[in-house]
Amino acid sequence: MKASRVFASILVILTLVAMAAPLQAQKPVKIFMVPKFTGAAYFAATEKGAKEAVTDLKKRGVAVDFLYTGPSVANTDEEIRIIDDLIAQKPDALIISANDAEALVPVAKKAKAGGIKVITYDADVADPAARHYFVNQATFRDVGATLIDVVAEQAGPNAQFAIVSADPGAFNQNSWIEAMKQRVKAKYPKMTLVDIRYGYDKPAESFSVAQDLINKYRGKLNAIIAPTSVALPKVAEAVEQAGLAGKIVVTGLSTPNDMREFVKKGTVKTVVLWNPVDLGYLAVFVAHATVTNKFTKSGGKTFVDGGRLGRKEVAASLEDITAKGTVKLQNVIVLGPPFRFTKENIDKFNF
Amino acid sequence: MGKGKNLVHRENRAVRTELRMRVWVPLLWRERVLLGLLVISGIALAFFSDVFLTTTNLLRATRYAAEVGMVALPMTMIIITRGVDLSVASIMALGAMTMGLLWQRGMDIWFAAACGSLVGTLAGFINGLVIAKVRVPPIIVTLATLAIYRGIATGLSGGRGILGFPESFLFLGQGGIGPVPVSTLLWVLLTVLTTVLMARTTVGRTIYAIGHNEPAVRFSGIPVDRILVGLYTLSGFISGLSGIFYAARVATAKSNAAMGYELAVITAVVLGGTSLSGGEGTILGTVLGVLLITLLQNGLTLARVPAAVQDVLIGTVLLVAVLSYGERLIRIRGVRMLVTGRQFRLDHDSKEGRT
Repeated sequence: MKASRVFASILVILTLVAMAAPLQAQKPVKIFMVPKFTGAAYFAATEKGAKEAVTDLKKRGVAVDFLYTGPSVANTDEEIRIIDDLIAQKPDALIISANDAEALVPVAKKAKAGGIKVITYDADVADPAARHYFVNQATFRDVGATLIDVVAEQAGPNAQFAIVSADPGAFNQNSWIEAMKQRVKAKYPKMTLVDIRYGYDKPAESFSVAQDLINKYRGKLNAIIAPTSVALPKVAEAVEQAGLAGKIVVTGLSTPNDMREFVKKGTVKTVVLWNPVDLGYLAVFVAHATVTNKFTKSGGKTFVDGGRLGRKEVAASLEDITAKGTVKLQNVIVLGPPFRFTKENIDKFNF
Repeated sequence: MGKGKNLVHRENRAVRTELRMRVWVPLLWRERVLLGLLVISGIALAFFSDVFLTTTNLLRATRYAAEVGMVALPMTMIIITRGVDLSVASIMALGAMTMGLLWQRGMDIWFAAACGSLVGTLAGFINGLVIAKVRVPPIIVTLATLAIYRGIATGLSGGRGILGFPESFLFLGQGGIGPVPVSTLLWVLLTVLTTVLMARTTVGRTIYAIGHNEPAVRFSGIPVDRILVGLYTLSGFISGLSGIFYAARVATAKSNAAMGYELAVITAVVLGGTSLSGGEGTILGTVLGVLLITLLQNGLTLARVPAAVQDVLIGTVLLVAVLSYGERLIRIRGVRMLVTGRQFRLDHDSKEGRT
């Protein structure tokens, strides 16, 4: 009884003290950024980019109160709780990468209803009305096209290629594959996709399906594309072991850290992905532009200032190719064409 | 003769005092530790954020405490009987998923929600039945049903989430009466009910007794099995209910709902001073445990402490608190210390009575 009474009175006193605290004189733009989780080099790279954007904004005389925080491991509930706690601090803008597209909708809506500008990056929420803008790292269409272009450049427009994917039901994988097929049809009619194999995002299985492909199509296969970070290094390893490094073009989606040794040896000349540093950078600029409502219009299109990345288009509606057909994305800012990691630039990245 | 009468009187008092002790838990050392930690962290965190110590913030934070807090109540009772229920989070998902699927097929949302908690109750009943009748250790049974119930939820939904619930339903998880979240109110109500059950009823005393010495209770002719089945069924019911609130809060019924909640629940119960070896623990301790974790998470986030550092800090608090519950160690060494401990409290009480 006594203890609880003492506790209650302390709480009351402290509440009064806290409320009496003087308000801050100057008001910097408060931008909070919540990644899916903090314990990953990929998200650390987006943080690095975001902080660079904060520095660039400061150089222009814009004071930014920036905070980067999120769950330490991928955890939807933690993320929701953290975002809700952050809303209580009334930031001007929230930048979110959603662990679960659907479950984060209510908390994003709550933030938006509270007058906070909500920007998603890397992973969008399911309901476009729950946020203002989505900073998209790369559309399926662009990624698929770039992978095919790489094959055309390195193995010729008549190349026969195979794909090593993750799971036959994986939406991302199938969407990229669909985009690849459409690129082939539209631009390289003589290129053929001979086979698709699945490694289920397991290193050993990815390795053995790559070996199968090499043996089955020996002498006929010009390129293998692996649009998954687990399979790509394993495909490169299988090609090396078969003594076909340099003869079979290997490319796909993966991170610089996973692919560094193969790129340096030359087994893989190009790894396609996006640049997470730029992604974080652009997200902060979009957040700032949304808070200050600084968008430029020209020729019926809307643009946002992307700092060192230049002007980016704000698309009210954007068509993308997916495994479920064409979809329309709303209020999207695309980072740009996918990034190509090569021997020359790979050492600049650590994720 | 007069002396003997006095002794009987004293013994009656002892029983009554013990009951009172269970209701007014600050009398116990571990609850004092928890209250102390709550006050200290409350004061410390207030220095780092001007939002933290406001009623709005603290009440809002209880929304996240309520779902874990509700499930922690039957969990406390189960752990007191020397059992454990690992399947609670899976039952939450199963309950939410059942509701979502029925609603999607045209059922009224409230009726669907009732069916969801009913399925949870049934899941809990199955746990209890296997544990009590087949005599398989609870940790094994519920470890299996943890996988089974989650598996059923995933299978039923095909991994897809159900969205678009009516606003009136979402109010359960997102709205409140004034600044007090609906789930918090329910949590408070359930806390009061379970506290009374544990401290004031024969069933409550039997639950403690089962944890201390189950064979003895069985030989006394008390229907232990019935109580155990009842407890796991209650756990299933409250988990199912909590799953409905969870779905209303995130406006989605998805099979990965409440992933990993069982650990959060057990952590809170252990922090609250309930002994995993059974026989000991209080509802109020558990509530304080839930509150302390919530307060730390909320305050540390507001103080802009990175999540990884938060985990370390909360883990440390847990360890320090549990280590300070030295009482249990003393009890292991000898019953004598425990008796003297009670004697002291009794004396203290009678002194107060005289003056």
